[in-house]
Amino acid sequence: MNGLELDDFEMPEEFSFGEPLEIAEIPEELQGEILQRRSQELARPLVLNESVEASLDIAEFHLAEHRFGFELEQLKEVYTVGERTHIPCCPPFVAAVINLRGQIVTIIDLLSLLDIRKSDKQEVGFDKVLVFKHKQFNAGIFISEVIGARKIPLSSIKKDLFSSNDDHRFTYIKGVTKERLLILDVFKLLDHPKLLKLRSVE
Amino acid sequence: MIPSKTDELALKLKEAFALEAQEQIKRVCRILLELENQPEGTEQQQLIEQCFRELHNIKGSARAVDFGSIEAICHPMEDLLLLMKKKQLAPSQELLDLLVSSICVVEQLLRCGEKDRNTPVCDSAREPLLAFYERAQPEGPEQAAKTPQPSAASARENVPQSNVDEFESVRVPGAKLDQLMQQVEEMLAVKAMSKQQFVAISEMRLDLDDWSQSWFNNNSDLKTARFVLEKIKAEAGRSLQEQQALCRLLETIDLNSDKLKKLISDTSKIASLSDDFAHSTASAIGALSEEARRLLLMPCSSAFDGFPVLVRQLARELGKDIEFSFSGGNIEIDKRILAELKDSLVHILRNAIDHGIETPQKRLEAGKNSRAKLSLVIEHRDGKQVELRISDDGCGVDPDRVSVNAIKAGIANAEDLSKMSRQDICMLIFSSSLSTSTVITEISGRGIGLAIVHEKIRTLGGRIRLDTSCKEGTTFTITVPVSVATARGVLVKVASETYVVPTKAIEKAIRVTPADVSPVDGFYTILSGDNVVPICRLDRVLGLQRTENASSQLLHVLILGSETGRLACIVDEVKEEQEVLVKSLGALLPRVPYITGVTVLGEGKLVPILNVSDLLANARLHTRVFAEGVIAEGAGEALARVQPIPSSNKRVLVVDDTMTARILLRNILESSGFLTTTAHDGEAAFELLQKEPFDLVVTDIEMPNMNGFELTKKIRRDERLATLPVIIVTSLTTAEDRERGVAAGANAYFVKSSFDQSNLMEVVKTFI
Repeated sequence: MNGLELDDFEMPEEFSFGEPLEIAEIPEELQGEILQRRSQELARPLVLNESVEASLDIAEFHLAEHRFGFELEQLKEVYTVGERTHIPCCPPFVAAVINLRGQIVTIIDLLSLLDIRKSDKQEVGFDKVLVFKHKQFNAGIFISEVIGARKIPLSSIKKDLFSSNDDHRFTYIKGVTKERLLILDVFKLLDHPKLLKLRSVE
Repeated sequence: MIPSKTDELALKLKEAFALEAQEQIKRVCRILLELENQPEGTEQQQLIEQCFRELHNIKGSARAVDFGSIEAICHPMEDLLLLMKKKQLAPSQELLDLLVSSICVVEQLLRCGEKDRNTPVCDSAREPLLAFYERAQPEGPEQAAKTPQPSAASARENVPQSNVDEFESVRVPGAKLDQLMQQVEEMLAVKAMSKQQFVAISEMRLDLDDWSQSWFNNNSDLKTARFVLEKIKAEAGRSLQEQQALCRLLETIDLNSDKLKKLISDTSKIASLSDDFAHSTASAIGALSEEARRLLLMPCSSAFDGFPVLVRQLARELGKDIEFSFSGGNIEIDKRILAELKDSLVHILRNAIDHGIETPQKRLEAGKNSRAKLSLVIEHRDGKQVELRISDDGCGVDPDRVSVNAIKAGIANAEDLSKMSRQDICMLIFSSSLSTSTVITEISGRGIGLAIVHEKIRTLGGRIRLDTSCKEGTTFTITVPVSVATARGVLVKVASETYVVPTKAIEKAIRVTPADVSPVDGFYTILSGDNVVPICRLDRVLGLQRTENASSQLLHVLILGSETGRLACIVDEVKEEQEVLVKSLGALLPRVPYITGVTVLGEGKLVPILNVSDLLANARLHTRVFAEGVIAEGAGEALARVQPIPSSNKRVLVVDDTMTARILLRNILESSGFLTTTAHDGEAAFELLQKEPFDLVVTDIEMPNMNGFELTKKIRRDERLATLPVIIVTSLTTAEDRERGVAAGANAYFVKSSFDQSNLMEVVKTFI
């Protein structure tokens, strides 16, 4: 309320009461009422028809110049990495392993895993990881920054973009929003054929 | 539905019964087998008595948990034992056979949880028991009369061991012990941290000492300054403010001196506390892990109890007559080692029974006793090692047959073999490429291969030896440590990253000059004592960014060694040695080439631990591929003869589903100057071929999605790719496979077991 000023009251001709009034003459209760009514008129809901439509809690993150979303429920924690250890002789999408309070967690380079960046060179400088727990193991994904969490209506997620003609390769993509935000199913992502292959080595 | 209290109880009872019965059955088996070789007398009576009691207990518990089938079989068994107990029935071979097979049925029933007594299995097990009882009973009195009185001579004091332990021991699930052990091992990190802390505080104290020295060294200057200040203060005309400021300055100087002194004395106290702490932590953790380790020691018999029955059953199946003896069952070994050993021993026993020991008829023909001897002897070597010997008096391993197959598998040529002793030739059966070939399936039959046995024992820190002759049979001698020792490792720096090399694999750390490195038969070597040791650069092996440290003319070299060979590794720096707790890389990375796992350093940093057996296994390859950089730097006379890497812009596509193979192939090809791209299966390869031009394809056969044959066919059918040379590299060696490869249109077919990179390069060079 503090931010609002009663400038409008200086222009009495626009006022809806019959007679022009001095500002000081508006009773305090009335002022509150007016402001409240106005704020209601101006307010726009962040999500349309929230109460009616099913929605999804998603978290959004930046990775280099890319933006991804994923279901918030799948996240275990966001962790700021101190020391990371590079493991040689691993495929390029294995970015590092970290010591997460005594547990060894493998960190995945998402861009390399999804062939978004082709080069074998590893991106450096990321210090945040999203940690997920999936089927008894922990895995992390390096990210640049967490943007935030929000609700988006399920209806605004387009699903058929990638899963046409029985292509099972993209099952880890939950869908794309109007703003071209790619929503990932992280658990399916962690069952990506490349990772399954890595896991199945005897 | 929520289970009621009684349901819960019933469930618990059943679990307890299953656990208990398993052990009881084991004991019954052991007793029955002992009875077989036990002459009549008090000891025999004791065994019968024991067996009777065990069976009675099984029967009782089975009834309590409604396990009708087991009860139904145990009951007539118990009756028969009662007759034996009353000496109305002698423990004949026939009777013991019947009892052993019956108890095996009981065990099976327990395992599959079949409770119904009215099943054919149960009936067919009961019938012979009842029949035997029928037959035995009328003769009862006669039999009793015949039985002689036990002679005093055989009445030795021999209380069976299991009875002694039973009351003093507590049952703990193995998994809980493992968890405990893991926790204890985590304490090593605490130990390392406390030491780290002491070091940090000591360093701080040294800094403070320096500071105080410079502070108090200027003591006389301070005095002078103070004097001057006092004078200035007293000077007329100074404002009160100025005087106060000077006062405060003097006070601050005094305060700082005092604080510094206090800080130093406090730090000394903390340092000594921390020292005590580090020491007491170290000793407490040492004692704790020692105790925990002892907790994990179990008598060998606990794991190997089933062997007599196993041998017996297998011998019956294969029509062999075998007397099995097992001694040293009370010797204790870490349960983790026992668990790993068990499969290996089973495998060796099976080998012996299946292939080593001849049929009774053949044995008689060979002038041997028709009854074969097979033994497992366990003995202490010294305090820390145990030797397990499995000996049979069978036909032994035939070195000629091994030779033939070794040549076939491509692991040795006739010339090499002619120089080898028969003993060494026989040792080839442990070689992995041989064991995958048909020969070994002939010798080993079921179970895990001897190569895996060898590998397992090696990872346990043990050794295996084979002694064989056609007259005396075969003896496998396995030596393993009693407990899993805390590994120690040396920290090394390679390409500005730290790695741990297990200390036990390091023979020595030396420094050499590039001139000490010389090429022998195509690979680079140095001299370590009298041994010529192949040498490689660790940074190249691990595929790390090359670090050029041209300044140092001395190379830091670690000589790694095991029975299989030696390898010298060039590293940037050799740092301290310390205890390391090997942690696995987790479910996502179950197997990484050259890396066993990671360990946590004092400050919480993870450091990869190198897998020395991987390094050694690929030693020859590395020395050629990875030493070249060194040679170029230290170019001596001899080294100048080394051919420089031909630069080429030919592109090769390597297709293999295993990462190790991809890395190896890529290294070989890249070291010869080819631009190499890899694909993990035929499908991915074909996609790449569509997009980019290649001059040659090197492909494996067995791959998911699209195998090598399919890929080759597809390439031949493609208009643009039809003439692209394809080399198939594989472990499939049959003529049929070769024909399939050629039929598919491969230009060359290369067998992996004879995988010598110079050969591969020759083949590659004929095509591009």
